[in-house]
Amino acid sequence: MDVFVLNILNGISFGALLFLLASGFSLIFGVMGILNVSHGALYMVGAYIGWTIAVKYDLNYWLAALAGGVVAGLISLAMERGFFRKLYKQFNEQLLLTFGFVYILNNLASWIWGPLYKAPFVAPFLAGSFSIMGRAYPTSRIAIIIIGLICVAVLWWLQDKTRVGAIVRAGMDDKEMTLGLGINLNLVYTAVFFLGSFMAGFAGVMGAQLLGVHPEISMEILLLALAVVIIGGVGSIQGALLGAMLIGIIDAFGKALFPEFAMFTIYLAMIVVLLIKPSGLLGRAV
Amino acid sequence: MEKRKSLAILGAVVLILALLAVPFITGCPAAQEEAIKLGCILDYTGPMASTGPMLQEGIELRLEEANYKVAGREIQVIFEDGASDTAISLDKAKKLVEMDKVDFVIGPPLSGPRMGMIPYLAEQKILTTSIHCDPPEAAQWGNAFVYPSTLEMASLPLAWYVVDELGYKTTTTVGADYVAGRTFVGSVVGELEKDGGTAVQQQWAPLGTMDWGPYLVNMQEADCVVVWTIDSDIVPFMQQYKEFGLTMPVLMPMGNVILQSMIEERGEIFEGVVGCIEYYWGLDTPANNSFVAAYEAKFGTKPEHHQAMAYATASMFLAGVEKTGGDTSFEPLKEAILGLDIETPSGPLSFEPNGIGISNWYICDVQMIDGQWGWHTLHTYEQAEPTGS
Amino acid sequence: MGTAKQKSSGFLWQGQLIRFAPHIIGGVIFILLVPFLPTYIQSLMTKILIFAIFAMSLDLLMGYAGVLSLGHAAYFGVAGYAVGILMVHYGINSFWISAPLAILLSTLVAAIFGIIVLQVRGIYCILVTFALGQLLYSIAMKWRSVTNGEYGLTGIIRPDLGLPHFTWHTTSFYYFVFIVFAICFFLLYRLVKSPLGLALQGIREGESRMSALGYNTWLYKYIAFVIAGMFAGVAGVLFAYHNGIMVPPNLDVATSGFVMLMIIAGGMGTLYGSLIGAAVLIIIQFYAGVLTPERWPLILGGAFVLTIMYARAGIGVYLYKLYKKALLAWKP
Repeated sequence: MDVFVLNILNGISFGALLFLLASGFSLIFGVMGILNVSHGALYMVGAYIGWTIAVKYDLNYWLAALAGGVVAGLISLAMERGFFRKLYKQFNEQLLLTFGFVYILNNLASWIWGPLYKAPFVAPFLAGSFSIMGRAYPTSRIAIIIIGLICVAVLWWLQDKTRVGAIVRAGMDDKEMTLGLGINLNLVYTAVFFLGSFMAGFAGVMGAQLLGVHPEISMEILLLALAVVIIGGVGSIQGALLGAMLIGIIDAFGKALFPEFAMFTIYLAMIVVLLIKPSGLLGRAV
Repeated sequence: MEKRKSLAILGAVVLILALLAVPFITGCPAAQEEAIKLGCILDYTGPMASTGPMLQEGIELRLEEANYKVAGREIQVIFEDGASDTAISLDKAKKLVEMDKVDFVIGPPLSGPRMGMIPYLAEQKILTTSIHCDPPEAAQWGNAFVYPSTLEMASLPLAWYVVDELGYKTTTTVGADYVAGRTFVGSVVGELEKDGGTAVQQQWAPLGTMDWGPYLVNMQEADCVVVWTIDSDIVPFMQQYKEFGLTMPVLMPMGNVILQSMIEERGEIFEGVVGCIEYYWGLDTPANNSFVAAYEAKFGTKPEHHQAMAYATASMFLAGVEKTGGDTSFEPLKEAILGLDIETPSGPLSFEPNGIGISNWYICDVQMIDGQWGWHTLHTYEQAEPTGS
Repeated sequence: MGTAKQKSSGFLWQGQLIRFAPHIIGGVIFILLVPFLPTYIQSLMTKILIFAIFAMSLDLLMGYAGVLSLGHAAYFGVAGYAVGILMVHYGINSFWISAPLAILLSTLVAAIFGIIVLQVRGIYCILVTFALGQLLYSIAMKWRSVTNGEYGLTGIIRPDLGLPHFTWHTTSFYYFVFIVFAICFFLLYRLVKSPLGLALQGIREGESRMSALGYNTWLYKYIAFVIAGMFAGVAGVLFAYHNGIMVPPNLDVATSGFVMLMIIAGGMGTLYGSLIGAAVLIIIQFYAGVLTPERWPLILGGAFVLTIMYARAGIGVYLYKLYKKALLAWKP
């Protein structure tokens, strides 16, 4: 029984991390029609910035997490200003451009921080373990769950309960109409882009508690974000949450029950969902 | 567009292409026929990017010590990026052989790309050596040295140690789900089973698994845990292992995946891990002490196994050429290297007739020594060869 | 008015020169010059032509039919592995047996995957094709008895053409690949100019419109998908022979992504764009790597960014427009 509970906790904590890193990707994709392949690279940059502040200079951990998010957000703003403005829904050009950024960011990270892997780092008071049903469970994972829940709550509220959120959803449904109402959609989009990328960078620092960071992590993270979006659907917080949690739980129990097929479980899950509901479980029908 | 401009563009295009083509047609400069050319294909980009600079340091250190000269001839070394990719490594091998006319190829570190280029190099009659273990099949084309030895040898000594010294009977394993992982873990389990023990559970994780939660939570009780995966995955594993409060002794075939710098930085999570390693800086031999001193003098830190093994491959090459008196042609150099018995930082090195290396293997555990975390030798298997092979 | 010469072609002789410049230059580089180049360059050019075939197959799907795919390496890799398995495990060395079988297999896989992929539209195709490609990659990694896992299937030698006294050299293999490339180019050229090709472009531009006109858009896209898989298989077969080894990454998203970048950078919806894209990416990857083994990805990434900034439709398209403008200068 205790193993079952721990597996669930694992699933939820991994799912929470996936939510943090995928929610931004999903929003940017759904709202702005931008397939930002460099989302994983932004995660990586956030983790490295966080590492620099928290480990190298030994400053406050939460400062590091915020800084990671902010830097990622700023880089993405520069990208948006410079390039994405002109490439709305032009996926092919976006792909080439963002892949270019990935190559550049990965190599720069390797240049600046060295190609060696950086070990996981946590906030000092989050180190160590809880005792759950007689077994030890890392505090940092519980923290990720809590932080994830907070972010879910905040983003959900933003999306469904605020004017900005309403504008965003209106823009997704009918862009012309929204513009016709005199709403400055561009400003809102820029804000969404910044927020989504901030989430990526912030997720980078949070994720580093478990995973550490290295210059190749960009693509691995991107693949996870793609998986969440495939399963949960694009453009909504709820979709990102569902996708993230499903993957987390499937991953946790898949490894427990079918260890030989761990490599397959996520891809199979993706394909099953794609056959049943191609736009993702909570995605808008395409 | 004006007529003149259009002709100018045409002219420019033709001129540029011609300028580019000419050097290739006239052939590459046959510079310094006297010089011996050493080609090294290392990984500076891709998943193995961290190894490139370290391997280069090791090779260059050895060549510097020899003043870039051997048997009266100059040595030129050329480094290329294999990008951890089989096709790109092969392209670079072709360039090294056909344009730079190298006499010997060191690397790349990964076995996949090596298996891709060894047949080509054999066709071109070029000798080559691995830097870290290769599968024994690499020797079948007759031009490859399997250094320091085969993949099995990187884990068998740990298996022997478990059976002979530790006496563990049961184990639960966690391995990276690909050939290397299965080989390393499999050889330990195999020896254990021969001795009447069992693996109560075997878990396999895809490469790139960073969240080990599911595996750790589901881990069953046994005398020990045998775990192996790549360096970027093993550190989260050990950290999470401690976080989940697990206390079974951890054994690691091919323990060098845990870099020295990582042990120094986070030694507490590796404390007590017993590993089979090919090298660490604390090995107390004259050859190693002088190597470590030279490395520290130049770079200011202790060397990893990457630098030491690369250093040894350069030593192997130089010793071979010394022996042939400067002759780098295929048969004489091959004979010379096969007949070597030299001291390297990781211990004595010699070869079986088929090119497979015979080296020392060390069983070590991680301990705090003089205020610093590091490997500490428990047992040395000298000049080990796979039993029954 | 004008002389007879002007009337017949509409251009002065300088114009004729410009008109045929690409063909002449291409012919010189790819046909005449090759035997005089060092063998490693010939090998590189062989690789460019192989990837050009691969890229053209993807362009048919993405550039003409408008179906996005991030898993095209699946068909490429399946064919390559098929050739390798037939040779290494079954000793079948004959080109005339292995190649058709391998291409048949890749076409079959495309036929199956196509049904799954075409359930969705637009950007979701990227997600589905990605998942399917990664699934095959995982199979290649795990099915060690057949594929030898990550060490790769080694020992793939140049095939037996059944010609007496014929042995392969780098140069003869290059011309072999060139001939296959020329055939593929010709076939695809006819295809895109045919009613099928035009229909595909119509679907890319506006599927609902085509549907309203009575076209079975699903069927057209499916045919494109299967044909694309077939040509990718051709490239895969040649690649296996060229490289001598097949490894699981030949099936994964990195390879699929790389060839997608080739067609985007070269110019989508044009066959020549695939050749140019393949050439540009492979050349930069190689020579930037020689120049700076550690920092060359910066150069490649920078090239992509520059392409988007200055030649958004692709380098091939940019050059084509330049060519057209230069030609117009000579129109009387």
